[in-house]
This record gives sequence, structure tokens and C-alpha cells, in this order.
Amino acid sequence: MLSFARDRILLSVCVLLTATFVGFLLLQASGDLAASLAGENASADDIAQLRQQLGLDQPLLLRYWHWLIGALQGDLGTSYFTREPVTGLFAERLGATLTLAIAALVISVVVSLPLGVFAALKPNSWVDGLLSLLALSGQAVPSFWLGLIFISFFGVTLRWLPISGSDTAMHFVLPSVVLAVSAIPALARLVRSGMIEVLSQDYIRTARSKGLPRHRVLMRHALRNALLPVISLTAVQLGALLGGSVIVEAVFAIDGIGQLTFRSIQRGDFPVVQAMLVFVALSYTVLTLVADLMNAWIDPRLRSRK
Amino acid sequence: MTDTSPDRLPAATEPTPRRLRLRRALRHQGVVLGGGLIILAVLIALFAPLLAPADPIAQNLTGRLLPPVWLDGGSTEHLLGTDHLGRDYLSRLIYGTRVSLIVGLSVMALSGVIGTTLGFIAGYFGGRVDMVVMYIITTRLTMPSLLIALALIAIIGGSLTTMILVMGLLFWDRYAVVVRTATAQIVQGDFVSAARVAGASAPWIIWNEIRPNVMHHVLVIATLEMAMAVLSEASLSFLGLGVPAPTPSWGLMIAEGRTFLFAKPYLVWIPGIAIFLMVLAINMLGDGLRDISQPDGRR
Repeated sequence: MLSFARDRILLSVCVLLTATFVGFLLLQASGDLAASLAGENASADDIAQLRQQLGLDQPLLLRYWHWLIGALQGDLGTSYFTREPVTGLFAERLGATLTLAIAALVISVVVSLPLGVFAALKPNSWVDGLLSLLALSGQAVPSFWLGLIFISFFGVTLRWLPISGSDTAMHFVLPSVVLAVSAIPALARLVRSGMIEVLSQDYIRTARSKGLPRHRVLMRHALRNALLPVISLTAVQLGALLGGSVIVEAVFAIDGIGQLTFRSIQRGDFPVVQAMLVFVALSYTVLTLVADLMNAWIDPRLRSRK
Repeated sequence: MTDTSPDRLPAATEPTPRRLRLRRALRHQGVVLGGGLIILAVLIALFAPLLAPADPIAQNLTGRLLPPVWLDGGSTEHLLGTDHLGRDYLSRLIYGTRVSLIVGLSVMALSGVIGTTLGFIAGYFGGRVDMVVMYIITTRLTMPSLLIALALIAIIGGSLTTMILVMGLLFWDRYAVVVRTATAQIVQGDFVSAARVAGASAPWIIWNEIRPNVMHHVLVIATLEMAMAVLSEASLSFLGLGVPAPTPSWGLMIAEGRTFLFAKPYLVWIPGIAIFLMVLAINMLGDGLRDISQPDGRR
């Protein structure tokens, strides 16, 4: 188990380094940052001066190296725009985004689990049909549009909920539901297919023939085993929700890191964008690593496979 | 089940496997409904100049924000009304089908070529080659695709071509994962060993022996990717980093209509429903294709 964990962690670190380097390369090499930052009316001298000021005249590899050394010490650079340290900008806004992502995750799990279980108990019944319909619609609805529709309906027509900002808990209701809608289809479908597979196993028949009550068989014997892949997907989904927060925060004017990133993308504030890439990549890597290790710990057969 | 005794050769009148598959597809609700809607969208996109009642980018500042025909003051001249620059909304909606389909299909094809190639190589050769490809796939999965697309388009500048290239170069991961797994299984088949012994080259075997056996997986993934590309195009254009104005894109129409969300909500509803229907149709087709390619889905 230890050597499995060591190899797996080592691989994650390599992947993370490659991912940040590729991200760095893409952002830096796709255009002349200094020229676009200086604006259209800047002279060649202005641009050259700005380039030197921001260290953009150094070779790419050297710049990545400096950035990496800084990042490892918790220094993600300074915003080109506000001249504040990126770490501080992030820390101020992380709470709002995490609240949003976790609330969305809780909503999607609470909806997906019962829906998936009931659909699996009676395949091709009306519950199953409802799940397919919800999953198909949930996948097809653009989250920015759903956000606008929610705003006009719950915020303006019914006046039930606040529609923009992040001052109170109520402000997070609509955005987290919108974000959850994007995560529910995949989760519910995975719960359903996992349960259908587990329910056909011999140990379920044994448990039933022992005369155990139905709910006990379902909860203790079936659901527990069906949940393994769901845990992995949930970990991956949390990373996706952080990425999706860019759109939802823009629609609901929530001052989180998604909104910060979007504004930084618009004004070419490269250090902030790079920090967000690293943040999402790091969360994704850590979450999948934890899920993998957990699964390997629960199921020893997975350790030998790579 | 049909009689499969070896001495019984299929008669000339018996349906070919291809025709059987087609027949199964035509009995599947999702395939018929989803496929039908997509064919309709393709026809609308192709014949947009004939169908659209007006020029989608011609402004008419005296006829701004006219209501659609079912509201008070609406006229049959502008069935869906006009937008804030007096452009005919129905015409913009019709031309928007083009942007959506062009992005969806091109991204599907570009990412499909990249992903399936990587998947074939990893699955066929295995070992170290497989490890390298898996590393590339894992690295790609670690990077948030929507964020990178947004950032790249912001730097390069938004256009149809940029969007297609950026998304096509990012969205290949699912193809690669699925094709790799399927290829690794098929490579162990006797017919592949036979081709190898006969001296066939790797590209020949991949193209003639393996490709036909993984195509049904690729098709299902292709619909998923196309749906994702259509949604991403809408999101990017909504955020102002997709197709530049005045090109009629559904996402851009929602962004422009957003200002009038409270007074004229239909400006947001109409293009949103168009996106929803398009993605729904693609997903329904994809689900249907998966159903009929699985043995237990063949009812």
C-alpha cells in the first residue's frame, strides 16, 4: 500500500508540474502580453519598458522557474492590474467560491442519491423515466441561461431571493442550485448504473434470502458498494464546479475567485489567471489522488493495477 | 434469436447487418427524435438565406425592441420582434444555427481526430507508449478546459476559427480514454494476430481491423463532445469571448438581451430555448446510439 501511495503521489506531482508549465506556456506564448497590456495607443518604447518592468523580456523557461520557486513558497506573484499580491486577492475571495461549490455539491448529492437508487430499483418505471428526462435536460441547459431565468423568476417575479452579490446565505441559494444542475445528471446516472449492477450480485441475493428487511439490504449491502465510483466522480466534480464558478459568479455578481479570474482574463492580468489554473489543477489532483488512495485502501485489487 | 447454424448461408433477400442496425435505430425514440431535430437544424443552417425574413445584421434604429407577434404591438413582419438595434430576431436566431452547428461539428471532428489517434496508439502499442499517452491524458484532465479556452481566446482574440481551434485542441480527452481502452481489448483478438502474422503494418491493422470495431464508441463520444462544444460556444460568446458582434450567435444574443431581462424576458428566453433544444437533440441521439450499440439495448 505504501509503495502504491508513493508512486501515485510522485506521478501526481509530475503531472501537476507539467500542467502548470503547459498552462504557463500557453498563456505566455499566445500573444504579446506587454503590447496588449499597454493598450492600443502605447508607443514601442512604452511597450519595451513595460516588458522589462514585468520581467517579460526574460526567457520563458527562466520566467517559469522564478514563478515556480515563488509559488512553492506561497508567493504567486503580483497582479499586473491592482499591484496587490495574488495570494491575498485569492484568500479574500476563496470563501465565497468554496461556499458556492460545496453547497452545489451537497445539493447534487442529496438529489442524485435517492433519484438514482429509486430509478435502479425499478428500471423502466416512471421514476427511471423521470431520471432520464432530468438528466437529459440538466445536461442540455446552459448554466448562464438558467441563472438568468432564475433571476427573472425567483428574484424579480416572485421576489423570494436576492439575485446578486454574496452578502447573506440567501444569496447563495440560486447560484448553487444552478451550479448543482450541471453536476446532477452524471452523478444520478452513475448511482443508477452502480446500483443496478450491485443489485444483481450474489451477496445481495444471499442477504435477501436470509430474510433481512428490504431497506437494510439496500442501505447496508447495496448502496455502500455502489457508492465507490460515486465518491471518485464527486471528487472530480468538485474540480469541475470550481471551473464552472467562473460563469455562475459572473451571472450572479458573486465576488469569488471565479469572478476575479474572469475579470483578470478580460484585462490580461496574467499572474491571477495562472494562479487560478494552478488552484483548479491542484484541487483536481489532490481530490483524485485522495479518491484513488481511498479506493485502493478499500479494494486491495486496485493496488497492483496501474 | 436467429438460427446461426454454420451450414445456413444468408439468402440474398435477408437484411444485412447494416440494414439491421438502421432498422433498430429507426425504432428507437431518442434516435428518431434527436436525429430528426438535428437534421432540421442542419437544413435551417443550410437554407438560412432563404428562410430568414430579413438580414440578420441589418440595423433599423427606428424599429428597436419591437415585441414578438404574440404580444401587444407585435406584427407578422417581425415574428419574434427585433433586438436593441432593430435587427430581426427570427433572422438572427436562424443564422445563429449556423454558428452553433459549425462550431459543434468542427470541434467534434478536430478533437475526434486528435483523441482517437492518441487512443489507437496507446491501445495498440501498449507498454511505454501507453504510459506516455496516459501521462498526456492525465495532464490534460488536470487543466481546466473552460478556463484555458477563455484565457486563450482573450489573448488571441475571439473569432469562429480561434474558438474551433482552441476547443478542438482541448476537448479530445474522452475520445482518447475510450478508444485506448477499447483498442487494448481488440488488439488481443485472433484476427489482429492473424493480420500481424500476415505481415500487415501497424497503421494498416489499426485502420482496417481495429477502427471498424471501435467506431460505435467513437460515435457516442462524438455526440457528447459536440453537445459540449455547442454549450461552450454559447458560454464563451455570452461572456463576450466568443464570436465577435455582430455575428449572430445564440450565446451573444442572450448576452445582449440580458440588459432587458426584466422588461423583455423573451429576448433571453428565445435563444436559450434554441441552445437547449440543440444540445438536447444531440444528447438524445448519443444516448440512443449507445443503447442500440449495446447488446442488451437491442430490444
